[in-house]
Amino acid sequence: MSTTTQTVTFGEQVDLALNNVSLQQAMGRAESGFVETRRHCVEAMPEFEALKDTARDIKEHTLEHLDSYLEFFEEKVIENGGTVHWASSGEEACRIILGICQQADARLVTKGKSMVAEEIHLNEALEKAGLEVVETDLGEYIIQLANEMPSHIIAPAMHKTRSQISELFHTHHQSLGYVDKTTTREEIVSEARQVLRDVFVSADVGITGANFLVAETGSNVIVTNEGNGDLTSCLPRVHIITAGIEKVIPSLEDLSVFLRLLARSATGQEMAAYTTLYTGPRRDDDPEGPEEYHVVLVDNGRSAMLAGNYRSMLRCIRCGACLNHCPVYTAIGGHSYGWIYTGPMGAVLTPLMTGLDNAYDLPNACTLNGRCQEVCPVRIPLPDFLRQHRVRQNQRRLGSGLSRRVVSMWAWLARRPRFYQAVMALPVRLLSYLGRHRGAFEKLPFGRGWTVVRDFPAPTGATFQQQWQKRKRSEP
Amino acid sequence: MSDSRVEVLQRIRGALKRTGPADWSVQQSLQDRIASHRISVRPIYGEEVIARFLDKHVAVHGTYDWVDASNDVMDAVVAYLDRHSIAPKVVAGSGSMIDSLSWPNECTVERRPAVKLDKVAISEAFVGIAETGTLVLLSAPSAPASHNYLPDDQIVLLDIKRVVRYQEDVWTLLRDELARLPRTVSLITGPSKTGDVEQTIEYGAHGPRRLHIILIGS
Repeated sequence: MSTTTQTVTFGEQVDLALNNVSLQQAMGRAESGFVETRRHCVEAMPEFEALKDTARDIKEHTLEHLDSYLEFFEEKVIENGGTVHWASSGEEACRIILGICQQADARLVTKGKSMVAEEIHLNEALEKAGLEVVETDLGEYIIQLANEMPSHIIAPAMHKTRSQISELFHTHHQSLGYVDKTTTREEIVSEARQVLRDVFVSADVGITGANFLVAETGSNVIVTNEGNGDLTSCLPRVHIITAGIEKVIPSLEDLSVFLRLLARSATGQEMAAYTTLYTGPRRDDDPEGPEEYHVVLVDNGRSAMLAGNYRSMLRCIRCGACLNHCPVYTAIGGHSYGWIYTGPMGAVLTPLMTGLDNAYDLPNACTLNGRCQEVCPVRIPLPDFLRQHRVRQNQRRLGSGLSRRVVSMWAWLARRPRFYQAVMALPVRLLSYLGRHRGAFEKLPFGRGWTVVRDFPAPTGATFQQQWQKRKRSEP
Repeated sequence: MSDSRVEVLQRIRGALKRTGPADWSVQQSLQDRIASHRISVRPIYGEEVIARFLDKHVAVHGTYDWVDASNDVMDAVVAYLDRHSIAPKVVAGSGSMIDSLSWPNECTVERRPAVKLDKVAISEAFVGIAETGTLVLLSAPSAPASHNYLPDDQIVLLDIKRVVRYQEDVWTLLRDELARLPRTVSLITGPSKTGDVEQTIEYGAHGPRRLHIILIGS
């Protein structure tokens, strides 16, 4: 599942994705769905931009004092009867979690959606040890049945069409007595509800992620719409929370800032259906609730990020807004990125976590249009980071010799503005002359990628710079 | 395990250009920041809180009855069960409002955690948040959190005097009224839903298919 073992190149993945009719059909809904609902919701709140500034400042403050806040959090968890584990790496986190499961004689594990768990390949580790692991977020459940990676942070199965889901359920649920194929959305959701209900009530261990950890109270906060995270947290004997070390925030008042941003940015809701603060295991007279409450704090490369230029990437609250607003992501889908973190945030994170040479194409598959930065609720300068990746790749001589030579030629030219303008004016004039009758080209040398699906409009004679100069001169 | 704790903390401190824990005075200032409960940006709105609360609740697919007095609650409950053809067998939490209900003979009321086959739960809200139409429910020995998530229907009783303007008001009330933060504090905004099939909202994913509030008071 990791990028390092990927045999298909990014370019090949993209070709496959663009020609995949089901995928294009599924992705087509993203624009109207996520983008529109978010826009409506954000427009209804004039304070949104100020809220983003506040959220950025809280995260920066917390990161600047990360060790202290983690220790405050730990102290509170212990005070409430829970246990905190620290994991340097993904492997260590898996070892710790497997240890807790084995100690509890667990056989069946339910999981709420957790990106950290995906990152550390937790399911594989648990399954290898003989445990049965069931994802309970509907999207995660669908991709678990399909044996695929999530393609989106918030909607892990957004690449799947309804008929594909229907087929998957038919294949996997027949043995459970669901012989008729369900086809409508309502039937599909209802069937998943019934199937997973049995799993929820019989699970030994529930594993969830955490949207936030609150240092003030030692609580972990889970935000879902389905309620699956809560059934995973409430019902089993043992509750394990996996969380990156960057998830801690100082106080409940700070939490409110992030809750106002998260659902709006992610799904265009003012609040998700369920936001729950969990604090420790069941109490003395409680008739239910987990007997054990474990928080596993995962570093796995985060402290290295804290040290370097990319610190502000640790502000990310995994809302997925940058994915939804990225023209590249919406065209090629999440799987093309080769890892669980996709879209702009993935193109920044994946090279940081798996190495620049393992993810060469990701920072380059970006138009630098800046929409991701505009919508980011914690104002992460994603395009700047992608540019920095490119610079570092170039410095380390990664990528093909040809592309680097072309870039250096362009750089040489771009530093000589007069010469640059003269050189650039040539093809414009040539194309303008050749296309003077038809006004467009059906075929162009080196331009097949464009002309195979549409005509290339012929330039009208002057370059952008020339037109700009002319306009400036004509202004009073 | 403890080795990794030391290692992770050391790496963080290294990244922050320190060799050990922050100075005592710095740590104290961080604790002071937490204790200040400083409120930052909130969406300003002028509407009256009850109207806002109900509008927002309905906007997320919730339903409600508004009764003048606690005597009328039982009728509203029975009417709701009838309306949805739900057998009069409920799991109930506890609290001053629920405990004062006089159940008709045909209703079976069980006070225990919810199980798979339970169809309906009756709970009492700590408060409602007008800002977003959110209910706040607290777990307690007599109020199991499973009531919020397992049954198909949840009926929540809410005292009209307990509707607050902003989310932060909940944190203040929790600090003022309770000695200790409950094990679960559930902020519930509408019934369970999912957008995982074709990014189109479908209600009743894993939690309650319907969420009904009985608002009490005038």
